[in-house]
Amino acid sequence: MTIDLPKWDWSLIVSVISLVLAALIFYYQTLKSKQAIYFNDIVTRIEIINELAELACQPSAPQRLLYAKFVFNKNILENNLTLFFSIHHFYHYFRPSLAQGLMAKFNEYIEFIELYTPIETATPLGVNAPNYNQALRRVLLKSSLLISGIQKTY
Amino acid sequence: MKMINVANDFSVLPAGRYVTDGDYTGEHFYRFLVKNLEELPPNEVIEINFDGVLGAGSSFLEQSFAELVRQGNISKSDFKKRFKIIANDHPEIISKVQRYVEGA
Repeated sequence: MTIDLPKWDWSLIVSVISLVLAALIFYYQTLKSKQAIYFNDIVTRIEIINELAELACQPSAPQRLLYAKFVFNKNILENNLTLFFSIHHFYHYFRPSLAQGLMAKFNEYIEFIELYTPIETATPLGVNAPNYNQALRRVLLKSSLLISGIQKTY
Repeated sequence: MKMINVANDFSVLPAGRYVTDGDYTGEHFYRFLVKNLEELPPNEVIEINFDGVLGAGSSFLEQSFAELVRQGNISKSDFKKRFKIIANDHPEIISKVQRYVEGA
């Protein structure tokens, strides 16, 4: 007695596998493209925020206007960071602590600018003379650390 | 419980340290909080809701809340009992206030 085994249609199987792989690659590329857009905007916003902090250190700078621009860019930057990590599935599901750590770095960077440069107040903490070079150096350092931290996940 | 909605009762963009920095600064809010502390019974909880604000500046938060402790309007332990901070849109506000009060 012989048993008839079903015959595999290998060409169909190969076609299905190819289609699935193509769909996965397309999905991955779409995510990467979205991330690239968010990443570029994150870098641009950080550059703008650094420039605003520097401008605020000039005498007779329009402080309230600069602070309004600062908040505008800060809120967009925060949203973009959240979106960047939410579409990064690996970090979103398996290593949320890394995304949280970078969000903490972002909060620390913003808080430092608000407390130690004259963007929010004409009398920031820790400054006795109108010399903000040290504070600005630290702003740049913190922003570089934030960007390099994001780049490592990208 | 006394409820204060910062966006409605104060400003959608509270910022600045001293009154010279603007119209809705930390010093303004400090005075507003002192007035509430004086008018309310000693055990009444004050709920401060930051939902709806565009943001709250760090200098604003430091000056308004830490100043309460620095000026002796309230002790650190009483602050925890009497103030309830809500900030669903900007949860970092809660940790900042806690840190500033602890460091005052």
